[in-house]
Amino acid sequence: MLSASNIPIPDYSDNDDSGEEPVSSVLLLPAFVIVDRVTPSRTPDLITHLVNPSPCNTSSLLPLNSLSVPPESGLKIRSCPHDYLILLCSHRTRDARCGQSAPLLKKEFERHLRQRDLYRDSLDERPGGVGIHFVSHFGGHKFAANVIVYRRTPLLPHQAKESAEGAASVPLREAKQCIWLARVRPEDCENIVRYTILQGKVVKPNRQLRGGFDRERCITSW
Amino acid sequence: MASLLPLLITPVTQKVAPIESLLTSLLPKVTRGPPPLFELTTPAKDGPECIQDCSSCDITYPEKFKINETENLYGTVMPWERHLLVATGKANWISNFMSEEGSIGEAIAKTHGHMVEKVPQPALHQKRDSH
Repeated sequence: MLSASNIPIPDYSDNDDSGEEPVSSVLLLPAFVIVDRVTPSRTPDLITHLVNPSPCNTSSLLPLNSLSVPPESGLKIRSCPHDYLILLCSHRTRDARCGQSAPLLKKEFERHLRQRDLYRDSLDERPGGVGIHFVSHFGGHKFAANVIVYRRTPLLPHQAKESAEGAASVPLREAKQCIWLARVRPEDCENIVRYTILQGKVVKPNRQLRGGFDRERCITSW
Repeated sequence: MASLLPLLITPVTQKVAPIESLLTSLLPKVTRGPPPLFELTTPAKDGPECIQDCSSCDITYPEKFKINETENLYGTVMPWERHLLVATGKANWISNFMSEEGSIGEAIAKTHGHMVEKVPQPALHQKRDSH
């Protein structure tokens, strides 16, 4: 699945070797790895060295997985700072409802996450917490609002020193679950934070659960 | 002989059927299949809050916000193996952002099609039908 997100384009002006090409970052899931300095001409290296060897939703969770990229590719990798991700479809040119619901849900999620010191805005890279991102259309807007929650494995001792930006190899702390909800309304946000994000439990399965995966138990909805 | 078969078989099934139904009514119903995809909240375990919507929420959707409230939702997502999120720093994307000429999204979409390896389904992999 390929999405555009409102994650800010990092500032690469210190060592800009991208020439005239656009340069940005790509967040790779379920690996929870950020690939920096991606340009259109570097996408074959991105796919070959990082996407294809990275874990996928149906692969087992292995505690010693890591990813590396050859320095000559120009790509850099680092571990995503957040423990959880909330992705909100906000693609208003595809469906007006997604453009309406996403900012309202973000505001309400933010209110509940701040109370628990879990909120991270788009430039806040303090470790842990919940990153909330607007993403492009991922299907099913008649069931708006669609909310995708990714939950990561807990930090293990050998991963405690998470990689600094630009490391050649990073140990992986992957997504163990993805819980895809829909028909989410502002009044649902509190219990989604309390139970779904923090505990991996579903509050309204019949009304809101579209699917997802649990890699610890090797189960998917498809 | 063929015409006799139904006569021979019918009395037997008629005799067995009441015993079978008696047994099934006495035994607890066993359902086989994979466990639920995710744990569900229950008031006994998670407290009464899990069946109450947020009371301090003062944000509401616009009145015209209408969605499909009745159709079955579970299992309506397409399988996906990995998810790539391209940082664009904006949310006002064109309808198909992958068609934006010269963009990273377009390049990944083009490269992706012929370079992504097909992932084999692990043997342990199970599908959860419904909750």
